[in-house]
Amino acid sequence: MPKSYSITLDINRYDPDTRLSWIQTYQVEASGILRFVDVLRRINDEQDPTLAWSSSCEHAQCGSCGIILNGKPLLSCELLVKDAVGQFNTHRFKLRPLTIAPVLRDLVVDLEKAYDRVHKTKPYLIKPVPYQPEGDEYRISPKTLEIYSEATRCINCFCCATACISGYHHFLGPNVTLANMVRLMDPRERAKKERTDILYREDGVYRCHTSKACSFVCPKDIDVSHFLALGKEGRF
Amino acid sequence: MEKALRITKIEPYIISLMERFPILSYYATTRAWPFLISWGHRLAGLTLVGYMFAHIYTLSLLSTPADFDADMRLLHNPVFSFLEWALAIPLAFHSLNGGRLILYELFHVREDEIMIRWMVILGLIYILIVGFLSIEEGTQVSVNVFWSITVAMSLIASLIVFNKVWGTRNSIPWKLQRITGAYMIPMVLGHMLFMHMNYLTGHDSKTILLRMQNPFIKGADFVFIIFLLFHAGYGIFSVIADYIRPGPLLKSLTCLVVIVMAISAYYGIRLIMAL
Repeated sequence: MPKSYSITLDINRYDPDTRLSWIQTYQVEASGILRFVDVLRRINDEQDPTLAWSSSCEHAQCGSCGIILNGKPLLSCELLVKDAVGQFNTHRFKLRPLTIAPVLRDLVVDLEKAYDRVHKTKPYLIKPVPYQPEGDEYRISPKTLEIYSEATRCINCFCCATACISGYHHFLGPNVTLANMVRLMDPRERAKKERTDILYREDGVYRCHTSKACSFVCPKDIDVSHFLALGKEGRF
Repeated sequence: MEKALRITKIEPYIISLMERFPILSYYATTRAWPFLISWGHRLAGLTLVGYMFAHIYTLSLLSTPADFDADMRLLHNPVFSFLEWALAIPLAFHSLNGGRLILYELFHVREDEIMIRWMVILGLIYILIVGFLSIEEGTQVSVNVFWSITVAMSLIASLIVFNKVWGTRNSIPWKLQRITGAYMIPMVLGHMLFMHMNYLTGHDSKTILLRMQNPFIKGADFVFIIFLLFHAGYGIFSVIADYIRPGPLLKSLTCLVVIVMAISAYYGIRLIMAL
C-alpha cells in the first residue's frame, strides 16, 4: 500500500467573466504515487468542479499540462506527490499558471497565443530535399543525427520559456529558438539562409543570457542552453 | 586529485549554508544555481556602473589637485578602505563570470560546473590578494611594466574573442559586448590590483598626475574608458529590454542610457587628455 500524504494546494484562480483573481486552498489526502493531474482531477470530482486546468496525453508527450509549482515550471502529469514532497521538502504547494501567455481560466493559459511564437520559426522543413527518384528514404548518418537528436525531443511545453531570465518581450524563447535550430541542423532542410535569418533576428538567439534555467527545468532533459550556445558560437 | 576531492567536499557545505537564505534556496530549487549566478552578474554589473560614475566624478577633481587631496584625506578611513576592498567582490565576480560566459557561448566549454568552481576559487584568491595589498599599502611596482603586461593580456584576450565572434551573424552590439568584455577582464582586475598596491598610486594627486602624463597610460585609459562605457551601456540596455516591451518607453530609456554614457565618455576623455 503506497504511503498517503496530506497535502495543501494553494491554487491561483481566475474567472474571465468577472475578471477576478484569487487564491483558493484545497486540502487533499493523496497517495504518494498520484500525479498532480490526478490530484487536480480528484479536486474536480470531490471538491470543486469549477477548477479549470489543462492536460491531454498525460504522458509527458503533448506539453499541455505545464504549471508553476512552488515556483518551478513543470508538467503536472509527470510529477508524483511523493516526489514533490521530497523535492520541495513541504506538504504545501502553490500552483500557478505558466506566464508565457494570457490566462484563460485558473491554470489554463492560451496556448494558441504561445504557439504563435513557435509558428514564427516555421517548425517544419521549409524547403526539404527532393524525394529520391528510386523512392528510397532520405538517410541521415548516426553521427549527424547524434548532434541534434536530443533537441528533437522538445514538446513545446513552454516550461523553459517560463523559467528563462530573458523573459519574452525581446526574446522568441528557448523552445522556439530550439524549434528553428532543430531544422537548421537537419540535413533534409535546404532553406538554411531563411533559417539563419530567423536565428539571428532581433529577438533571436543572442537575446539568451545563458542563465541555463531552460536546461534545468526541461521535462525532456534537453540541454537547451547548449544548443542555443551553438547558435551564438556561429556554427551555422 | 586530493585537492579536488577536498574542494568537492567543501562545496555541499557551502551550498547548504547559502540555501539557508530563502531567496537563494527558492531560485536554486526552481531555476538552479547558474540562474542565480546570472542575477549576481547583473547586480554586480550595476554596482560597478554606480562605482564607475563615482570614480569619474572623484577623478574630475584632479583638475584642482588640492580639492582632490582634501577629498582623499576625508575618505582615508577604515570604513572607506573596507568599502574599496569590498568592491573587489563584485568586480572579481562580474569579470570571472563574464569570462565563463564567453567560454561557454563562444568556445564550446561545456564543463560549466568546473568553470563555476574555478570562478569561485580564483575570485576568492583575487579578493584576498587585494585585501593583503590594501593592508600592506607599500608594494612598489613599475608602472610601465605592470600596465604593459595588463594591456597586452587585454589585447590578446579581446583579439581571440574578436577572431571567434566577428564572423558570426549575432548583432554587432552583442559582439562588441563580448570583445570589450574580454578586453576588460585583465584591465579591471589589474586596475584594482594596481590601485591597492600602494596607497599613493590611487589617492595622491601628484602620483596620479605624474602617471597620467605618460602617453602610454593616457592611451590605455582612453581605450579603457570607451570600452567600459560601451560595455556598461549595452549591459544596462540588455537588462532593461528583458522587462520592458518594445515601444516608446524602451526607446526613451535606451536613448537615456546612450546619452548618459556619451556624456560620461566626453568628460572622461576630456579629463584624460587634460591631465
